Amino acid sequence: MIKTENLTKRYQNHLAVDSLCLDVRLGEIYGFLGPNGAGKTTTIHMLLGLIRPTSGQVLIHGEAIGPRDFAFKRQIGVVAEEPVEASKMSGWELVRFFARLYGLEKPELRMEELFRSLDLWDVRHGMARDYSRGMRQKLSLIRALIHEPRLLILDEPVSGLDPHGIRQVREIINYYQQAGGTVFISSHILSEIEHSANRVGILHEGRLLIEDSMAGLRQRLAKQQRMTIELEQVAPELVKRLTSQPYIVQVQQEGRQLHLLLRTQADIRAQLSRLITDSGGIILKMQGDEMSLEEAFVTITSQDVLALAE
Amino acid sequence: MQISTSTVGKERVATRSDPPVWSLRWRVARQIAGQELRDALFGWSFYLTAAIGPFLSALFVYNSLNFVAASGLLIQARPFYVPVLVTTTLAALYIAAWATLAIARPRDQGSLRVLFFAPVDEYGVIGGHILAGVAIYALLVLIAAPLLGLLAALTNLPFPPLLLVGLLVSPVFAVVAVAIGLCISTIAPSSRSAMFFLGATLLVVLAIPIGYTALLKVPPTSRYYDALLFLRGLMQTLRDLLNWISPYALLSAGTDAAMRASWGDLIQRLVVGIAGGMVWAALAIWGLQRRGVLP
Repeated sequence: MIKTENLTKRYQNHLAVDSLCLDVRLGEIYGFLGPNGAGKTTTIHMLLGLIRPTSGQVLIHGEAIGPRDFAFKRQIGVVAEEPVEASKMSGWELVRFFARLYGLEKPELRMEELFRSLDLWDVRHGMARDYSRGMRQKLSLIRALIHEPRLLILDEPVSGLDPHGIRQVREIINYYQQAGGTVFISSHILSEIEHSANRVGILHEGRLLIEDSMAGLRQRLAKQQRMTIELEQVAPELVKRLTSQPYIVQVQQEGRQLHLLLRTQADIRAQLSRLITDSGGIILKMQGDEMSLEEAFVTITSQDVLALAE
Repeated sequence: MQISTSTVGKERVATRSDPPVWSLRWRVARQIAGQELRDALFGWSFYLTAAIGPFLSALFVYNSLNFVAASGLLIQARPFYVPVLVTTTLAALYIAAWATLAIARPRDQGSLRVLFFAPVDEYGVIGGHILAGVAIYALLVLIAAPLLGLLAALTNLPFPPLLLVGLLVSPVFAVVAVAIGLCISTIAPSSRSAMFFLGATLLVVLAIPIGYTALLKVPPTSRYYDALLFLRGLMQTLRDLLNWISPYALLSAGTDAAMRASWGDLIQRLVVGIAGGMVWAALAIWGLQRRGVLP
């Protein structure tokens, strides 16, 4: 559906995006992850032609997009991070304005469907600039869906939404994908990506470190394991001793539980037990856990595991 | 929750079925022009400008009548020439200021970026704003014209039909004012600097003829006369150039040509106005492509 070939953006001395090769396939939900400043929004702006790349190209359905092309945006719906509605229009008028830009002459039925779906029907005649953040986010989603695009690009789509709103957005995304649409989500809320995405790309300092399915990502990270140990009592010296071990990446304490992120796939339970017992600790429970996407994300984007991407 | 997704999963149809680019741009321009016009009509500044023009015209006519009464002269040449010029110049100033904020402010606010998520390009956006600017100007003139007519009827002063011709063609010169404002708006780093730049430009446009007139008054016997000759020549060149570039100079010259029924002169000014408008519009499009739509 959408592909980039060595897409690069350089601002004077700063390389925002470095030789990015993305491949978003038709009909999938693609999660685009990265810490703040990784280059996600810059990438999205280049996909939409709002920023001219320094080098490389964007292909949509195999056709390269030129700097003056704009007709391809008829197939795309976009929800931006930090929705801005500064116009003097009501929510209803704003969506109708955009619907007409997309060439829809009588969008009112479709508008009603979307406004009702996202609980904005009762406030549709209020000024868009007076909407709350969550309402503006929903309005952005309506604006992005009004013309039934083949590709949805969502930049932080659930930002500012309450749990009910998040559920509504998730339902729309899943329903959309089931109907054959392609969804490209850029988000920091990793649990949302984990639930929805078929494939994930992780961007760090402008470079795509990993692009893989969720299962592939977990398998790749199976080199590392996570362990939870419950103790009768946790001595502060024990946490320090554990952290200093070469096979332990991270130790998090939660009451009497210690959550360990290990650097190795080997069975080191015996070593851990000995270390804990020597420190005077009494083990009540010891259990290995599957790494969540959040931990994978933190692990992949930390510098001492860049080799993992290779 | 279900929403209709009748076209979503379909493979992209062939490029040949996409509408032509000019059609997309025309659609964008129409939508933007319509929305901007509606926004202007719902704003107070439009009505303030519409009121100030006839008010100043009434003031001028009142002063003229007082002069006639005080001097005992029963001659009043072109009593409505200056009022019409004041009204049209004020309207052109208003749309220049409006155009100066038209791109810079939404770009500062982030909403220009959102507009470009849709199938919109710089040609459609600039074209739409030019259409809107001319429509706003035409409405201001349409509101003022009957009021000026009423003033003529009340004072029994003649309102020459040729002045109506001047009013009718004045939107052509207004296009230049809009296009210059849009050009400033696209290249300025912020809306505040855009307004500052417009103000500076207007000051320069005013200063050149005033400066030239002042320099002409330096007598040949003055010891600075020779030293100021070069400056006087430069100011004269700039003033002559401004007469062909400035929308306000074109408006004045065009109205004057219409009043004198000097059709060749009027057509010449109209052609220059149209060409000037196209040049400034092209610069505005280039400015927007170059500067971009992001804050």
